[in-house]
Amino acid sequence: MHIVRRGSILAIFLFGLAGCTVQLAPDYDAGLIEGINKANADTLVLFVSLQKGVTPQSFPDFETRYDAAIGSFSALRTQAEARFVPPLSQAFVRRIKATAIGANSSFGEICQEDTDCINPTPKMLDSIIGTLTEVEAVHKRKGFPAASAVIAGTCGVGETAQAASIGVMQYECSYLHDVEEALFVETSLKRE
Amino acid sequence: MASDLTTLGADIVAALQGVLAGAYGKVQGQAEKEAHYFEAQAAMMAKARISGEYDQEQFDWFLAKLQQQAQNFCRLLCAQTILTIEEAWNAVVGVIWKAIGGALSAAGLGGLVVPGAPTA
Repeated sequence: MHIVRRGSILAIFLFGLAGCTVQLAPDYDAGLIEGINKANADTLVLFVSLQKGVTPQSFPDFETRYDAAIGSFSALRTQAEARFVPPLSQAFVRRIKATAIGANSSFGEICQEDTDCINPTPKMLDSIIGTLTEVEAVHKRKGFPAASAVIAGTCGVGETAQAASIGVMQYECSYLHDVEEALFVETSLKRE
Repeated sequence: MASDLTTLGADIVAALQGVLAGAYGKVQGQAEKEAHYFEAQAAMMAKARISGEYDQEQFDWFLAKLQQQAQNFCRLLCAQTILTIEEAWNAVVGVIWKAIGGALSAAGLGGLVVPGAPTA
């Protein structure tokens, strides 16, 4: 009798659960991934030039390349920001922010906009734009020394210890980190 | 009935295990990459600061940048959690509707299409 009752409760629960499928995360956007890869390829060519060392006097020769890179990522940011974010998951984030966990932690700051923690790609593209803008400003202000051969093109701790000069590499590693993070988020949205 | 429910329960657990193991593996790999990244950035900052390659403005900029990137990693984890909840829920729903459809087909009533949730 007891087993039958438990079975009935489980059956009711399962049939209730079986109501419908849900979408909580944004749709996969192949165009956005393609755009990030294209902008990244162009920007890495710029970084290879900067790795050799540049002076403030050479800045005018690079200005249009900075503009193109920053413009490309700004357009991608607009595209990512404009996508549909399911209201159900926004309500979920709002609910957490309203609880003690959300109020007594940095969750409220990190997920200041409800969509920040559901569709984080615009924030990652913001970081990329910020890095490129800073590289442009440093180039204009003081230039970059040539990166030591041991560290050029790498982001490792071991290579850093051996390098006499970092050059632009830390900025490049920071940039690459954000590109890889954005691509990780976007490729994850491709449902099986 | 109890036997059918036991089978259904096992199918649901198997579906959830698949989703959760896949999600955990992906997030674990990303977390390891992030840890290596922050370690390398700290090493570069220390090196360039000691050698005098970075001025105070650059040093401060990288400190703020690392904070921004740490927050972005938290956003990534939150987004992955939400995606995992979606995948886990839909995997369970798929198993249940498959069982219901199988039972209806066996009774000669035809299969069912899994309905989607309203968007708001």
